[in-house]
Amino acid sequence: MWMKTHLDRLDAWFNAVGKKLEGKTMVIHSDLVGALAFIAFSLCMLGLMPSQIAVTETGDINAQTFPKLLLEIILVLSLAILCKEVVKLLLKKPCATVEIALLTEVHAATILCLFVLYLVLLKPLGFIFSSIVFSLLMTAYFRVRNLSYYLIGTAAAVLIGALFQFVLHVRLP
Amino acid sequence: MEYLSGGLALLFHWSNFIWMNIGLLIGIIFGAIPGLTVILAIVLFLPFTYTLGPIQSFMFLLGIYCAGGYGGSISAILIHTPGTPHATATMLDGYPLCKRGLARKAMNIALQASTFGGVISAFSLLFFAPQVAKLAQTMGTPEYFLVCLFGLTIIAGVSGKSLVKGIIAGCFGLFVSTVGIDPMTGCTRYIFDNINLYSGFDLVICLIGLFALSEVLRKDKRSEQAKVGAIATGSGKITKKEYKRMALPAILASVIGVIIGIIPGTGASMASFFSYNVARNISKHPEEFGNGSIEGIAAAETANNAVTGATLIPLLTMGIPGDGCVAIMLGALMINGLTPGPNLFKDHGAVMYAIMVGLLFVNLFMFIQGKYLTSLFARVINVPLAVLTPIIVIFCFAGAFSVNSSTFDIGTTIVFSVIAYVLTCLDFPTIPILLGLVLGDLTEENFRRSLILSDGNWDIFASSPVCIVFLTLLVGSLGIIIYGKWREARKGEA
Repeated sequence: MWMKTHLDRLDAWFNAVGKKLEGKTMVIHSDLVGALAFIAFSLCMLGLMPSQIAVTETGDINAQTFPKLLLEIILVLSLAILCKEVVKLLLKKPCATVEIALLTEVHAATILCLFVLYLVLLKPLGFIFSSIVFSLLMTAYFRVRNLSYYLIGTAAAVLIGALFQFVLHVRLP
Repeated sequence: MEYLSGGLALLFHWSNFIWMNIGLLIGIIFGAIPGLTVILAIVLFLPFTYTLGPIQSFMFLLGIYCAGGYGGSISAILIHTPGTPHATATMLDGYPLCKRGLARKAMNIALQASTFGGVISAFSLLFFAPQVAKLAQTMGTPEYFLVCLFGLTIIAGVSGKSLVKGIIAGCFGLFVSTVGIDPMTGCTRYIFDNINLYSGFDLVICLIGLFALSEVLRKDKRSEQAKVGAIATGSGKITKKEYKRMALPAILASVIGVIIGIIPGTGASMASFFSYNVARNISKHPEEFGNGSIEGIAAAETANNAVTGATLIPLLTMGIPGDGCVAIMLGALMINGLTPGPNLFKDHGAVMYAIMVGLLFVNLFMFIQGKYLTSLFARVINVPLAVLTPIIVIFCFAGAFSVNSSTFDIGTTIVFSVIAYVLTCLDFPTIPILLGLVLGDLTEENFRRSLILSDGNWDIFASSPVCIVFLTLLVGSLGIIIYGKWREARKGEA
């Protein structure tokens, strides 16, 4: 009874937060952001290249050649996208955009937090127990009230652990 | 002939057939449930092949791959939601038939057409692959580099809205594959003094993040699942007249499927829509298309399964995967010491013939499973995602850990899932990243060797007739892709 009341309260709180976020969207310039991200990535990697890839050969073709070429292609193509988008913005032409629903992103972030928690728990709890905890939390995330779903998740965690350990001979944490 | 008899001896072992049937069962289930994909199934179950031999592994994965194509049609017909993207063409006519109470007939046509396409595809693999392998043996390093470049460019071009974004994604995948020890010089690249990065990023770990965990991140808990009731009554029997009507579209679709399958990066969706369109153009009843045409279902399903064997031709003969699923299978081959390429048929001829003949049996067993377990598969669609999602994640974590027995790899998987999630939000395709990862070593090795041979002269990439043929193909394909995108953009503006 006590548990049910608390679950109902938690459910009501989730509903309230969900309602607040429902319909809230954010528009981002997908091409612009994507191009900037890849420019930053390629410049960063090109800058780090001398310290990360030591050249031991004497010729022009060495361990740096291929990654350098790839980073330069990424940089040039990203710059091309960036220029195209900037010109579009200046000419006030429609740009490539994506609409991001905040509620969907909060859901994705929650799942990501659950992944990280699962990873953190792997060593102290071991694979099977951390999998059970994750499975229960993930089922709760789906706001399931049916107890059998929780039992299926728990049984699956034990079975998968046993399968990898005893059938595939993987030494799980 | 010697290889064929050796291959048959290797294939006819009970364990190969058991693994083949387990794969088929998994493939149909994953194909049937909307939200689960064939690529996800292959990624999740790839760790299971570590302890298996090459033929068992390949039979298992081929079972998943081929059956996934058929599985997608079940939900497309029953709930108007294609389980796989290439079942969309099947849905156009399958669902109207289902609404008329002819679901069983639609599913029978889909099953028989899928089997027909699969068998034709297996025969094409059996006859064409050894010939292509002979041709590939004459290729040198520059030709090989151009083949890799061709595959990567086509995939970059067709897997997203933008060719430029596809190329960026492909280059990103190639770049990630360079992390770790350089196989040619032994020096380390971008390892940031982290011992876990010495051997680079393992393909399976990246795949689990890019295609499995990222899908889970995208699962919105509010997404509703359609429910399937009992399959409508009726025997689902196909009459002689109906077989006659479907014969020509099915034969044409199988040829189209095989041709499209051989071209890297094209895939089953393109084959099924193209064949569907051809079937409509040659039909005496074009008005039935979209309203429950049996020819439409037959053409779409034949084509998407005719692709399966054909995609293996460039994989087994040159090491160039025809699509994303086959790219993952490449990992299973390499784990067993079989490096795809022209020498594979010379060094492991019997194993290759066992795999190719095995594909025929995969399709026959798919027919048997589909015929007798259809009602069960239809009920599987009702399994809630709330039950499936935690199970998928636990599988992913166990699979990622099993590669090197390291929790660092699980962290890497999570990072790759976030990368895939963000890139998808920004409209960057992820399939070229996969191809970049798979083809990274092969591309770099042939690129560098070619330039070393020519003292850094780039003319080597146009030095032979084969090089010129591939360059022409590359430029021609790029031209077609760019023209297609330009037309799409103009249509959008209009």
